[in-house]
Amino acid sequence: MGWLLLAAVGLPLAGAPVSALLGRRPAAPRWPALVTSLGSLALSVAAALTFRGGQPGMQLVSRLNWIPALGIRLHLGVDGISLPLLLMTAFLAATTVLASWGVRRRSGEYFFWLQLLSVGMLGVFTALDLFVFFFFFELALIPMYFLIGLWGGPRKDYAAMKFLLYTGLGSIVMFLAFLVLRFYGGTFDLLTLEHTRFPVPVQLAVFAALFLAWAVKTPVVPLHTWLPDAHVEAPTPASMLLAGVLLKMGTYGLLRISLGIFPALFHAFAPVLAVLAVVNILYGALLAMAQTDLKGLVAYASISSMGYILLGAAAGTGLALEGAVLQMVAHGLVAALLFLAAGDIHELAGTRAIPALGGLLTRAPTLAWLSLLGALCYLGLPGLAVFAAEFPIFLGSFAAFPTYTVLAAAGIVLTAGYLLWTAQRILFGPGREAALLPALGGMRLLPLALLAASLVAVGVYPTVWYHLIGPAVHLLAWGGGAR
Amino acid sequence: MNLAALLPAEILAGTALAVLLADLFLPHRDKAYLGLLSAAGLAAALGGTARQLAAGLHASLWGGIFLLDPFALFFQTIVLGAALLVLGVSLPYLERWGRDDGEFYALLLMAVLGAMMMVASRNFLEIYVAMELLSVSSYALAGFLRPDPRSGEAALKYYLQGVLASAALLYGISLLYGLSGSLDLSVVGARSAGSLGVVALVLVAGGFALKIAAVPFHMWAPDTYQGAPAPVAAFLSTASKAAAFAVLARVLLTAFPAAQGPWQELFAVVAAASMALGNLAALGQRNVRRMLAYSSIAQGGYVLIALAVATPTAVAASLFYLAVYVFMNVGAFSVLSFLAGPTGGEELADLDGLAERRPALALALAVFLISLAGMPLTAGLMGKLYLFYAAVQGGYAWLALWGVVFTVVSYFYYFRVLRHLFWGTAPPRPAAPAASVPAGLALGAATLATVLFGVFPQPLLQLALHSLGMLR
Repeated sequence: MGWLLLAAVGLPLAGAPVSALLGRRPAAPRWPALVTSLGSLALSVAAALTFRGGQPGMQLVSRLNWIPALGIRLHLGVDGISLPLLLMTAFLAATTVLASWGVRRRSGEYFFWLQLLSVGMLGVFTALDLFVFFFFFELALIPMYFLIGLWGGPRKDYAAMKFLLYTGLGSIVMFLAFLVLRFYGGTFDLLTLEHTRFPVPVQLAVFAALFLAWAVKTPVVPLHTWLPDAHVEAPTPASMLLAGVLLKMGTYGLLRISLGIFPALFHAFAPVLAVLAVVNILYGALLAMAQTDLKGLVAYASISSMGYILLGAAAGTGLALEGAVLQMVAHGLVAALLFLAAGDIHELAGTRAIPALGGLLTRAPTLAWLSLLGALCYLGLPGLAVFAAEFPIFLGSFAAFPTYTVLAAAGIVLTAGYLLWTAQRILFGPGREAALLPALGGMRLLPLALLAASLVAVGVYPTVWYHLIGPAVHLLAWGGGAR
Repeated sequence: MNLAALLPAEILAGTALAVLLADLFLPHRDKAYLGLLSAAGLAAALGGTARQLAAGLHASLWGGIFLLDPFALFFQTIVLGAALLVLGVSLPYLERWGRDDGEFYALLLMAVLGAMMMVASRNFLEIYVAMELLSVSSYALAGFLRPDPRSGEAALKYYLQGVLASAALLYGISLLYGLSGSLDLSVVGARSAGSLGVVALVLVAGGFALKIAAVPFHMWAPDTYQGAPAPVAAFLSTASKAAAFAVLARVLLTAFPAAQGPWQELFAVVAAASMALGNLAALGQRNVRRMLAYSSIAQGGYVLIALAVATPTAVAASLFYLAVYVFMNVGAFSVLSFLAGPTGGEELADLDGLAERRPALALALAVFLISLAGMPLTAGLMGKLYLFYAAVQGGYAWLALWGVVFTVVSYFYYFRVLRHLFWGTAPPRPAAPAASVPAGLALGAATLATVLFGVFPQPLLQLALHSLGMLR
C-alpha cells in the first residue's frame, strides 16, 4: 500500500503545471487545484483507514531508488506521529484551495505555487530519507516566496525576502548536518540512522545545527522575527498554510529527527528547551496582547502556541508527547481558521485594525460566531481541539518541569485575556468601521465552517487521535516513566 | 588510428575553415547559412565525441602528447554542448546587432577547438598552444560588437589580463622544464620536487585560474562578461571555465600528487575567497549581467572545492556540477541576450514585469536562477549536494559550511531578480524581439536539462564517476 503516500504527495505535482497552463482563463486554474487537493485528502484518509492503529513503527512504506550513487531512496512512510500531520496538511491544503476560490489575478501562477507548496508540505511529513526530507522542506520555500511576493500586502517585498533568507538559512544548515550524518552513518535513511552511534563531537555539532533549523522554522524566540512579517503580509490562504503547516515542520523535525537520532542528547537538552518553550509562550502572548492588527495578533499568538509543543517535547513523558503531537494538529486547524477569519474580516470591513472594528456580530453573524468559536478553541475551551491537546501537555509536563508548567499555564490566562478582549472589541458593540459590509456568500463561509467543524470533531472525540499517536510517541518517551 | 580518434576535432577544424572561406563568397543576406553550417559541424563533433565517451575510448596519441580518455571526452562533450547552445542564441543576437558575419562562427569554432585540444593534452607545450588558440579567439569574440565601446573595453581588459596569465603560465612551464627536462605531464611532477617546483606550480595554476575567474584572478570577469556579446559571455563563463578546470585538475592530480598537501590548502583558500567575493559583490549589482558575472565567480568557487578536497568523489562532483552549470549559466546569459538592445536593457528595472510580457523567457530565467541558487527540482541542488558531500567526506567540512552560508547569501540576489521578473511593474516598453527557432531550441533544451537533471541526476552522475578512470 506504499503507493498511497506516493500518490498523495505526487498528485499536486501533476496538477501544478496543468493549473499554470490554464492561466489564460482566470476561473479555470482553481479546478485542477481542487481536484488534486481533494485527491490528496482522499488518499491520506485512505492511508489512515489502512493504517493499523495501536502499533508503533512505520507503515505504508514505499522505497524507490532515486539516486543510487548516493544511496538516496524515495523512502516514504507514516507512523502515529506523521499520519495525523499528514491528514491535517491534506485537509488544510484542500481548505486553502476553497479559501482561494475567488483568486482571479494571475490565477494560473497562483494555483501552480499553491500546489507545489502542497507537494513540499505533504512530502516533509512522509519522508523517511533525510535528503528527501530536506528536498521537500526546501521545496516549500519557493512557492511561499512567490505567494507572499505576488499576492501579498504592502510590505510584501521585505516580508518575502526575509522569509526566504531566514528559513533558507535554517534549511541549508540542516542540509549540511544531514551530509555529516550521511558521512558518519553511511546512509541518509532515517530509520537506520536511529540505530547508529555517532562520535560525541559529531553528535553535538549536528544536534546544534539541526536545532537551529527547527528553531527558525518553529520559530523559537529570538529567531522568530521573520514570522510576523511573513504572516501579516502573506495573502490569507498562504498565512493559513504558514501558521497551520509550515511551523509544524520545525517541531516535527525536532521530534522525528533530533529526538529520533540523538535521544540521549535530546534528554540532556530538554531543560534548556523547556526554558525556551516558556519564553516562547509568555513572550508571544505578551506581544500578541499589544497588537492592533488582527493578523499580527494571530501571528504572535502562534509563536505562543508553538511554545506548548516545545514544552511537551521537552517534558518527554508519553502523555506530554501525545499532547504535543495533537497540539500540532489542533493549532494547525485553529490558526488556519483564525487567519481565514481575519482575512474575511479585512475584506468585509476594509481594515484589520482592531480599534477600528466593532459590532461584527450583528452585521456578519455567521462569520462572527465561527471566529468566536475559533477564539474559544484557541484559549483552550474544553470540548474543542486545543484543549484536547494542551491538557495532556500540562498533565504530562508537570511531572518533569513543575515550575515551567505553572509558568506556561500562566500563558493560558494571557491568551484568554487577549482573545476575549479582542473578541469583545470587534464582535460586540457598535460598528465603527467606515466601509459598509457587503454580505459574505455561502461559498466564502464553506472553508471557515469546515475548519470549525474539524475543531469540534477533534475536540469532542480526541480518543481516536490519542490511540493513533500514543504507541508511536511511547517509543520516544523517556521523562517521568509512565503515561 | 590517431587521426581517426581525433575525427571530432578534425570536423570542427574543417568546419571553421569552410566557414571562413564561404564567408568570402556569400552575399550578406545569406550569412545565416554560415551559422547553420557551424551548428552542423558542432553537432557532428558533439555526436562523435559522445559516441567515443559512451564507448569508453581510452587512446594515447602520438606517443602520449594527447590522451583521449573518458575524462577528456567528458569535458569535450561539455564544451561542445555549451558551444552548440551558445551558437543557437547567437544567431538572432548577431542579426539584431547587424554583426552576423562569418568570422564570429569561425572564431567560436576555433575557440571550441582550442578548448577541446586543451583538455586532451598530456604535454605542457600542447596545453599552452591549445590554450592560446582558445584565448586569442576569445579576445576577438569578446570585442566582436565593434560599434559598442563596452565590447571593446571587455576585449581589452580580458586581453591584457589574459596575456599576463599566459606569461605566468609560460614562465611556470619553463621552470618545470628546467627542473625536469621534460614537458610530459607524467614525467614533470616526479622530477620537480622542492621549493622551485612549488613556485612553478603556483605560476601554472595562476595561468589557469584566470580562465576560471577564481579570486584573485577574477578582475577581468565582471567587465568582460558585461561588455562582451551576451552569448560570448555565456561561452566564457562555462565552456572556457570548464576546459581550464579540466586541465588544472589533470595537471594537479596526475602530475603533482606528491605536492598534494600544499596545493590542496591553496585551493581551499582560493575556493573560499571566490565564494565569498563573488557572492558578496553580486549583492550590490543592479546590472543583471554584471551580477551574473559575480555569480559566476562564486560558482567557480564551488567547483574549486573539488581541487581542495581532491578525492575521486569530489572530482566526480565537479564534473557533474560543471556539466549542469553549462545549462543553467548559458541559459541565464541567453535570456539576457534577448532583452538587451543597443541601449542597454540589462538593469534590474528592465526585467520588471517580464513574466507578463514574455512568460516563456521569464519562466526559463526563473528556472536557471533557482538552479544557480541550488533549490529543489533543479540540477543546481544536485550539484551542490555532491560537491558539499564530497567536501564533508574529504575532511573539508568547514569548506562545505562556508559554501552553504554563502549559498544563503546568494538567495538574496537570485531571488531579487525573480521579484523583478514576476511582480515588478514597468511602464510599457517595446516588446523584446521574438525568439527565433534555433534560439528557442537552445533555451528550451537548457531549461529542460536543468529540470531533468534536477529530478533524475543518476545517469549524469554515473557518467561523471566513470569518467575518472585515469585519475587514480
